[in-house]
Amino acid sequence: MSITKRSLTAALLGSIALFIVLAMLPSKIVQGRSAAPQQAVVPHIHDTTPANMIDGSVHPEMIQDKDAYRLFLQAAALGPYPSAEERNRQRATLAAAHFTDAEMESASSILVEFKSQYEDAIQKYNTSAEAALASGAIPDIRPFLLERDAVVQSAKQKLEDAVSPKSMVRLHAYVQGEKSRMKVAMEGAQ
Amino acid sequence: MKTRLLTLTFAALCSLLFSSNAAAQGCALTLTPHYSQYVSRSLDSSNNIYQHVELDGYADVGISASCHMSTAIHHPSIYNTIGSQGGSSSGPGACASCYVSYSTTVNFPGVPGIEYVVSADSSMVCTLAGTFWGVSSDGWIRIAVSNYLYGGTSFSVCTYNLYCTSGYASCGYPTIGVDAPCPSNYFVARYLVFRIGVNSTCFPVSIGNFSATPVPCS
Repeated sequence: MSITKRSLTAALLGSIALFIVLAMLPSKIVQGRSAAPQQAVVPHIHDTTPANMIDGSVHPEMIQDKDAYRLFLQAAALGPYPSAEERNRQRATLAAAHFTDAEMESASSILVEFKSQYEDAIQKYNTSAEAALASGAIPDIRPFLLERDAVVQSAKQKLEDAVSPKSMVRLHAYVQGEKSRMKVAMEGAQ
Repeated sequence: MKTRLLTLTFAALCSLLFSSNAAAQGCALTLTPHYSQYVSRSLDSSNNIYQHVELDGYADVGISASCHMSTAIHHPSIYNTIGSQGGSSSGPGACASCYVSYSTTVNFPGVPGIEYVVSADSSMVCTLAGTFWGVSSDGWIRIAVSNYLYGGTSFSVCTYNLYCTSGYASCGYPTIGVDAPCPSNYFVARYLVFRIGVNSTCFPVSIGNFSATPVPCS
């Protein structure tokens, strides 16, 4: 009986000692030991937490004009050889501005040019980004973002020059309303 | 004896540390999305409803030494439907840090007053991470019609007053102005109504036409 009691006491003290030793180990080491087997099952660990976005249906006032025009002009722009259906959609998209036929023609040309410049800028950046990644570097997107916004600003300025102030006021009011249909990345709202 | 004990202790420590490194050798990366979505809905004079979904942006990629991100490809994906028209489509793949600009359009011949289910969902899919970003704008859409009766002309602007002989107008102002000349007694204005649950929003589409006879409001 006394032997059993002694054994129990020894076992209890041993457990406490083992617990203290484990507790004193740095947490990184303990986690590292338990994480090792998981590596074989899940080789990639991704943080998929989405960045904050501005929901224009809730806070349209937080969406900057440059971002709203970027998205709107992209939606309104067509390629150089649009189908009849695409033309109809473009007219419907720009209907709120009440462009005259001449204004609509000018706007269409400006938007074709905008689309071409926008896509060229993306293509140029993507080629450099692929090269950077291939060499193990992280691409710097900031110069491209400046160029992108400059392309948008240039197209907006050309529209302002090509159509009447009244038409531009109507278009601007429409773009402001369209912010409610946009969800914009925080980066674009800063 | 002392040396052996030290050697064993060092080996044990190395073993523990090596386990920690092994865990770190898994490809740990962070993707910070900077994508935007714009859903443009418009209506033409033939009552075709257009829904254009624009996905535009990029991801910031934080890479650990063991990640071979040059092999990762990001694809944009858009689910764009009005009623039975449209569906899902994926854009061309691009590198993880590449800028993406992708869009799809669907059109649907609408009938005023009838409501259609619409979906406008955008997502980004990584060949290594799976879907890592997505937003949606789903609801119901219908064409609303408001009938107006001519009231008079002043300073080259015709005044029309809301006038529903049947039905009720769910959108539109009580009075509108139309540039002269105004050849008919009636003016028919159309709107797109987007509904999520019980919340409806009228969107002016600037589509209207003169009419010799009144049309039902909806």
